[in-house]
Amino acid sequence: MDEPPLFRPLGLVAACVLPGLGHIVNGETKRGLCIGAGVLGLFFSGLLIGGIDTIDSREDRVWFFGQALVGPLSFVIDYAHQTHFKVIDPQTKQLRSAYPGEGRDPKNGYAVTPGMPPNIKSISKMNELGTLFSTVAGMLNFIVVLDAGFPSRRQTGKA
Amino acid sequence: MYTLALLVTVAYRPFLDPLNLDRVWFLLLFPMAFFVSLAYKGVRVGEMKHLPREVAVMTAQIVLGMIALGLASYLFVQHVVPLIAPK
Repeated sequence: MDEPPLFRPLGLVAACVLPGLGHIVNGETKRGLCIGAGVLGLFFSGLLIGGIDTIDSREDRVWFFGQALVGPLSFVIDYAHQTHFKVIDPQTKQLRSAYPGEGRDPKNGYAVTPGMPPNIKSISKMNELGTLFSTVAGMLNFIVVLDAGFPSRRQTGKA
Repeated sequence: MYTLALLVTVAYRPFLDPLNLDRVWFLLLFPMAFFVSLAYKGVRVGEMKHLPREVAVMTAQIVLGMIALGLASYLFVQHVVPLIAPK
């Protein structure tokens, strides 16, 4: 029986780009699709449950460390959150989520009243669970990246 | 102003606004257990034909394990703690 190579750099890089892509590049298409569905399903479920507020590298930095393991997707969503959804407080000049009844001036990003908030800040359990879903997705993807770059001999039969 | 506030409350925007599931939050254990199992068993399983069964078993294990932990916590707090707490 052929031993798998100890290191697959292309698989490692591809797995860092998108969950499951590393296994697809390594020739395991079905496995890659299932893994991608699992990790991305968890990540987008978190986003659906808690809204875009759950991906926030400024206010929830420690959680974002885990979410960042999902790959560039997390950074893109965080960038969109910081630059297109948060407002600049007119008094403190700091970025923050818009309050209810407060909108965002598209020209300069300042908070304007009255207006429609670009997104509603999630609180309580929905925020906790949404953040947890997306962070667990990142931690699982770390295992996936390692497996794509450094393939192990899989168990035959039951896992 | 009231109309605007009402509009904000009513107009749910998926992926931007949080879901209103505060009363049934515990049901989110099921999708979490399923997706964790799918990703983990996708890495671990030897032959892909075994994947659906392995995912179903692991999902059930997680859900039943969490229910057992919840039950154990309930019994500890409601029945054991009153026995050892000073009166």
